[in-house]
Amino acid sequence: MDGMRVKSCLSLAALAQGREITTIEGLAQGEELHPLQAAFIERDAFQCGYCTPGQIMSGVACISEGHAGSPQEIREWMSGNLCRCGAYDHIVAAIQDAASASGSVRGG
Amino acid sequence: MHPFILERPRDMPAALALRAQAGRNDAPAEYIAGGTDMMQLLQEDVRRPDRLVSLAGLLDNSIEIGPHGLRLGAAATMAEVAAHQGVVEQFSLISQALLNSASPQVRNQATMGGNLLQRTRCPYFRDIGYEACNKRAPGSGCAAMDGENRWHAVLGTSDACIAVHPSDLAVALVALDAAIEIRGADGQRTTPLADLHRLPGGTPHLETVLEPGEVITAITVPANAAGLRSHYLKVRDRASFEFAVVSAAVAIETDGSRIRQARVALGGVAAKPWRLPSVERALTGTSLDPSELRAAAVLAADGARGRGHNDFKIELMQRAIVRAVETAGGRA
Ligand SMILES: Cc1cc2nc3c(=O)[nH]c(=O)nc-3n(C[C@H](O)[C@H](O)[C@H](O)COP(=O)(O)OP(=O)(O)OC[C@H]3O[C@@H](n4cnc5c(N)ncnc54)[C@H](O)[C@@H]3O)c2cc1C
Ligand code: SF4
Ligand code: FES
Repeated sequence: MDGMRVKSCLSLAALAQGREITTIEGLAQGEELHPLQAAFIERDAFQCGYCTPGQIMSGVACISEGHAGSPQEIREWMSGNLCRCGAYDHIVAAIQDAASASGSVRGG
Repeated sequence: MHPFILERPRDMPAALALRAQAGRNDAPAEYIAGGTDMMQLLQEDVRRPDRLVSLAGLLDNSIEIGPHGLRLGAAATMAEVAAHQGVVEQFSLISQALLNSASPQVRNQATMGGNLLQRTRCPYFRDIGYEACNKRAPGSGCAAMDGENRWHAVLGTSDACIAVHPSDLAVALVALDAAIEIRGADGQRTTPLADLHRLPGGTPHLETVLEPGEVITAITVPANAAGLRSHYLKVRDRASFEFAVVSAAVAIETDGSRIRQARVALGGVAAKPWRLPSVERALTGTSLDPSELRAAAVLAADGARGRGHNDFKIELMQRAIVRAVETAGGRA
């Protein structure tokens, strides 16, 4: 919401009136996937897919906030997104790929 | 979920008037700020207000550091405060406590005022499937007393309730002598944050000293708390995104290898952040030697009482103090 990651389940729609909202459906540019969506496919970063929209939305924010500098940092800043299938290693790898592609990795 | 009317009052007096008529906590009208605690409790039917009064846009969200210290507007988010450069540099204990709280998503939504007033995570309080909960239904008993009470309090408890207050932020703030500014229909007042939460006694449903309708407008931290060496140690069941089993907030000033002054507060052990003046006095003048620290930390257990599953907290909190002081002092 307004460019920040928030939890939809803890937000009242009526209080979001007039604010800009991006969901997973709005990430792709037409037929072209968002780089992190593509990285999730490339890295096989999901199993059942239940958590995937949340992981990707949170991952996009994690990268743009500059919190994707190392696997450890990604784990801490993605800790609010649980994956019952335990696809964590692949999720971290996908975020790392997308972060280095976008050049936002801090400290190399 | 109980149906409710969402009120978006135009200004603060209108909000105060809407809420003030309703009574103390768990009243027919309640404020909502970031909503991260309120929404969960609405969804679980634990709270059933007829009206939600939104504080959005009515409260200050500024973060200021000046000669009098730090001032946090009640609407500032956990994320904003945690990342504020002045907070990170001068009041690092606050930033540490916040970055160890919840998740980035929650921190983007949750406010300072709401954080201090979040409700206990006692699983019996949050599940209406259990009838006995004196906090939710006064006089109904306490399911935790003989139930799963691993997470529950060991200090300041009563036979009516052993719930803990879950805020990490509040523990750091109490260690730094923070105060809160309160606004009600009759005007403004200020109170030490340490006095905000009540111990359960025979009335665990009365959680704070706020009068019906009063809002927290700001948190202040005195300038003499700036620049101390500090550490917020949070012991929890997984590495991140979890509430504290026990936490220790420590800020010290050292003079060579000796402690000149110490502030110590514990979280996860009581219905309020638990400041420890006796431990602080015992630490004053000691070295950072673990055996000396241990001798001071033992005083934290004064009056502590476990209820079975949570007995381990009495030892754990002492160790947490030792470790946090060592870390703050640069030894661990
Ligand atoms: C998944 C998850 C994990 C969490 N983990 C942690 C954690 O590890 N550590 C931690 O400390 N917290 C944790 N929290 C709790 C979180 O910090 C609180 O939910 C949050 O701070 C509440 O702020 P809010 O603005 O969303 O409050 P709301 O939900 O809007 O309000 C909470 C209460 O405060 C009242 N209120 C709000 N603002 C004011 C005001 N200014 N004046 C008077 N009354 C007011 C409301 O009426 C309500 O009763 C977690 C929460 C979630 C959802
Ligand atoms: S500990 Fe307090 S909140 Fe938990 S069940 Fe007992 S009375 Fe309710
Ligand atoms: S892929 Fe199944 S929950 Fe994450």
